[in-house]
Amino acid sequence: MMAATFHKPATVDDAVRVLTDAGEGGRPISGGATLVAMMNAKLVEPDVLVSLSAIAELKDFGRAPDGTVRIGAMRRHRETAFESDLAGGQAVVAKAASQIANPPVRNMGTIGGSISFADPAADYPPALVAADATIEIAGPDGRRFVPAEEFFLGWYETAVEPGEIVTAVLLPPAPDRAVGHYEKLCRVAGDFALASVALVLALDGAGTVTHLRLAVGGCGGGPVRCPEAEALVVGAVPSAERIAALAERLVEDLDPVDDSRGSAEYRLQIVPRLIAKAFEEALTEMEPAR
Amino acid sequence: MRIEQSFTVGAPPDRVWSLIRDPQVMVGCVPGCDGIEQIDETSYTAQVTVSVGPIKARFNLVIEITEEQAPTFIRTESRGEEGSRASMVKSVNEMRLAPVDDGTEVSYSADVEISGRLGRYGAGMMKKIATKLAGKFEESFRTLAEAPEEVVG
Repeated sequence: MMAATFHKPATVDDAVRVLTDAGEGGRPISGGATLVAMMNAKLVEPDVLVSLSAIAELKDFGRAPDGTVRIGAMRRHRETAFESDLAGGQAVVAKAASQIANPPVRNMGTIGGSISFADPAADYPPALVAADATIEIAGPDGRRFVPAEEFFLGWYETAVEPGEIVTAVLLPPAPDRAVGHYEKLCRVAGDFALASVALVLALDGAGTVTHLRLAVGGCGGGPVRCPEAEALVVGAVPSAERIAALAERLVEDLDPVDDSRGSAEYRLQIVPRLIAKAFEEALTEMEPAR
Repeated sequence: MRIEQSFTVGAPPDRVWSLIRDPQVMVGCVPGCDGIEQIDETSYTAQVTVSVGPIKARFNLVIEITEEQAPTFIRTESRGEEGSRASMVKSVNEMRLAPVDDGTEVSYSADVEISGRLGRYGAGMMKKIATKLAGKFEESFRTLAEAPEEVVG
C-alpha cells in the first residue's frame, strides 16, 4: 500500500485549502471509525489525508441564545450521546448517537464523519431530519448551510462537494414540551439498522399533536420523511388508528433493498411496527409532564 | 444483476441511432466516462469511473458489438477491470429503438456482474445506484438528442 501524505491543519480554512490542492486523491479524516477500516481493507487508498483533529472549532458544542444548538463536526458519538444539553425534541439526536455501533466506534466516530459517509442505514440521518437540522459545510468559497432533508442525496451521496468539509450540525430549538425518540431494529447489538424511526413530537394540553417530524432510516438511499403522512396525525389526538394510517401512507414512499440483513419486503413490514413503538415510547416519556 | 429501463426521446429513430453509434456522444452521456476509442469495426475501449461513497473504481472496458440491426437494435458485451486491482465488471447490453408519436422509444437492458471492491456492496444497492446512473444518462442523452443538430459534435 502506498503511504498517504498526512496533514493536520489547525484551521478550517487551511484544511479546505490542503484538500482542494490535493484534488481527487485527497480525503478528510475525522474519527476514522469507517475510513481507517476501509483503508485497512484496501477499499480506499487516499494519497493525501487531511486530519480534522487539530481544528478546535470543530470540537465545540454550544447553544445560542435563541436555543439553536451547534454540534461541531468532530464531536464524538459518545459525547453527543451523553450531551445533557440535548433535551426535549433535540434529544432525538443524542438517542440516535447512543445506538451507533459499539463503544469503541462511539469513542472514535464523529458526527461530521458519519453524515459525510452517509450509510443509508446509519443512525444520525433520520434523527437529523426529524430534528430539522441544518448542516454547515465549509469550502473554498466559505460556509454554506444545507437542510438535513436536502443533504442526504441517497446511496452514500451527500451535498458535500469535492474540497468541502462538514463543519457543524445545527439543531433549531424544538417546540416547548416536545419529545424526541429514536427506535432502531437491528439483527444483533451494534449492527446497522434493518430499519429505524426517528421522531420529534409535541402535544398541547388537550393531547392534540401540535408538532411532528418523523423520518425512517435504512429503507432507501437516505432518510425518508413524508409530510403528507405526518399531516394525518397533526392536529388530532395520536390514536392507534391515526398512527397506523400515517405508517401506511409513509411506507408507500420507502425504497428498501434486499440485503444480507433482511429483505425489502420484511423492512416494509416492520416499519409500521417501529413507528407505533416510537409513538408509544414518546407518549410514555411525556406522561409525567402532562 | 439485471437493469431494464426505457425512455422516450423527442427525435426520430435515425437520429437517435446515429447518436448512439457516435463514441464522442457516448463519452458525454455515460456518467463517469472520460474516453472511448475505436479499435476495429466492432470493438471499442472505454474508461469509466464508478463511485460509491469513498470508493472510486476506474474501469478499463473493452466493448464489443455482437449484433447490430440499424436503426432498431444493438447488442454489446463489455468486460473490464480496474487497473491492477481485482475488481471486474462484465455486462451484456441490449438496446432497442422504436418509433413513437413524439419521437423514439429507447428501451435497454443490461445483465451486469461486478466483483472486487464494488462487489462488496449488495446487489440490491448496486442496482439502485446503477438505476440512478442510468437516469443521468437518459437526461444527458435526451438533452443532446433534442437539441438542434448543429450543436452536436
